[in-house]
Amino acid sequence: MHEVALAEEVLHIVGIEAERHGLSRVTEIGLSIGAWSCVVPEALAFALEAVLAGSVASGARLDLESVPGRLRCGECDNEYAPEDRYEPCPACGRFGPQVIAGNDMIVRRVAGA
Amino acid sequence: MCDICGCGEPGKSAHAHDHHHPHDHGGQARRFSFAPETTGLPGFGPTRVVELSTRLLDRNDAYAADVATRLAAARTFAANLLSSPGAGKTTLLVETLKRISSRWSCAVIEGDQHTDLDAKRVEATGVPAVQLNTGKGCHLDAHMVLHALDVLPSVQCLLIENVGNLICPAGFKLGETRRVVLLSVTEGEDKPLKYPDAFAGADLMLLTKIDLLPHVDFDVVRCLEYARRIKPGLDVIEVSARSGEGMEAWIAWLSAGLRRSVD
Repeated sequence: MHEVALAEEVLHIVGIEAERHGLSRVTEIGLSIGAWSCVVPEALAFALEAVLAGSVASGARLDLESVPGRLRCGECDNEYAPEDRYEPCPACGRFGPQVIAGNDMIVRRVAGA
Repeated sequence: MCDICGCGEPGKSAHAHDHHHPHDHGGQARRFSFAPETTGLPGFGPTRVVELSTRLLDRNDAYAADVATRLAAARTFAANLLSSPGAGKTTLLVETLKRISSRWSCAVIEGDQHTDLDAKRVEATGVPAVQLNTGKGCHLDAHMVLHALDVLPSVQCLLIENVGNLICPAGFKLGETRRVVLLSVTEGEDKPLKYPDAFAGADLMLLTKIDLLPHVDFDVVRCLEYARRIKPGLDVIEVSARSGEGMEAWIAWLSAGLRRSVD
């Protein structure tokens, strides 16, 4: 739903890095998107295409890595990787696990010249 | 420099904050690319690769930390109210202000896509309010709250009514002291399971419009069981802003938070 706001944040981060590293043209952006970050990678790619147009990263290739979610049980420390972020621990049945992977959206790489 | 309004970066510099990376990249990461591979650009020199680890929410989180610092310095207790549209946030706010504004200095930030109707309802109680219209946006962010603080007086109790939406506001910290999620009995009791993130991040759930319980098929016990599957131990107060039932418990919860912030 808020993919455009997030795409604008990507452009902000890419703009800062391009300036810092003297890139006059950004040709590739690497992103990792957590499975539970509430973002659909395809929708973010669509929003980015529009937001990046006319910028230093116009037409840049997007490399989106989808990071699977992983949970840790607060009761028995069991680690598990269910589809559903709110799945109870399969070992002890406790609800409310801690998320150890899959929540974040991260800019991993900016490439250009 | 902020590209939204030209104000400073959060925390004064772009990288004043720590980056947290509690994730690992084991497992079967799925990777896919958009647009064809390119091999360098004619006339632009060799391609350089900059490795990064910048979270998209880092900037919002840094603004949220700025908000929290300002609120702490002013000894302000701030509650961020989340719910779907029509759960009764504004009515609850107005009834709350009537009960506490003579004891505590209050102000309200109203988030809506359009209109200042809610801010006007609040101002009718004599409490200062600022309306934030998000336009196409679906949530308030910490940057907007920072600007709202500039135009509001310093108060003991700041109530922030987020945009009616159970999805997007859950991901954006505002620098609030406490987060409160509202669910009305005219909605489905399975909402905590359908929109879990809003409940997982809440410090308190208010079950609202309980005066309507005799007229609707709403299973309170099941609803609370669902909510506590998402957030074990979640505090819940059942309330009706219309009849006043439960308002005392809600005001007591608020007052306890206020005393902690003000003292």
